Amino acid sequence: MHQSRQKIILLVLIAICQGSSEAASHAQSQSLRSTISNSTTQALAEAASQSNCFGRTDLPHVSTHFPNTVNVQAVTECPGQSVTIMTTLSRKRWWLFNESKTVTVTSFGKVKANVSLVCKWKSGGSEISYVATSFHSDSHGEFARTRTRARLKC
Amino acid sequence: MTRNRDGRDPTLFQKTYEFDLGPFWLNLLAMIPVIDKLAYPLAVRRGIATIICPEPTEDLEKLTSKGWIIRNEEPTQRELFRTGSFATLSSSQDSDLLRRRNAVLAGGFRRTLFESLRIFGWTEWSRTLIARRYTHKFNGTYASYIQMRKEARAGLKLRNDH
Repeated sequence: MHQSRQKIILLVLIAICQGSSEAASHAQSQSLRSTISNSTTQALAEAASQSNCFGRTDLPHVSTHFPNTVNVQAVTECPGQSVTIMTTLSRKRWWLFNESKTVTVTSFGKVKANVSLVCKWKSGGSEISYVATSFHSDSHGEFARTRTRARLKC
Repeated sequence: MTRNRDGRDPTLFQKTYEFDLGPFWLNLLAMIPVIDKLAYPLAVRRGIATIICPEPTEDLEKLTSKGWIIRNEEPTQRELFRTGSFATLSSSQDSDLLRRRNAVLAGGFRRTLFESLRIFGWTEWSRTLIARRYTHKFNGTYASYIQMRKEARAGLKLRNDH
């Protein structure tokens, strides 16, 4: 009688252990599925953000709105994210003696940066080289660099 | 407002020269100091020089007869990408090396170093090429840039043959 009771308890314990292991494996598979779906979603989001987020720097040009200044515009666009743009406009002079101005702007979705320098060209002189460099970044840690160059009599 | 000798308003004209789309010897000529000035009129004759002119002017026909390509619309996204003025944001692994280098060479030292290295770009065109290569390597799009340059070259050849 005592032995049969022990057997019954043992069987019940085995059944409980099996149940819990099944539950554990089920939970594990669920978490794996969620991880996979999460990573897939993340990959899709990344792909979407890669295709949607872009940065552009236009050519430096003599401003028509503000005479005697050279101006450049740069844009970063990334829908639904915080974006930052850092644009530098440099006037190339002899070797290290360049002049430059940097503007940094942060906004949501789309951001524009305008940088301008006062003209220094003198009549009879050769064209001056202007270089505009922008560093675009978003809140997901993605980034890009764009650069343009123009020679202007300004 | 400053004007050229022929009376044209220089602010209306944005000239671009794409020596890398032309023959190899012309590309090389544009990289040699002093004599690189000879490459510019040759580029115009070869049809690889473009004027972006937002407003039509009377001189356009004269310029076209000389070989200039006149455009009044903005460049396409592909063209902007090739020249390095348009890029898609990414966290590419190709640019990891450059990012690490930039992290090490931070601030003024980095700027001074790169400005010193600039002396190796002896002409305007070679400096442009160095900048484009650096930009595409940084963005991890160097392979696409090379491919697009090949396509642009083939397109130009087709246009010239036609």
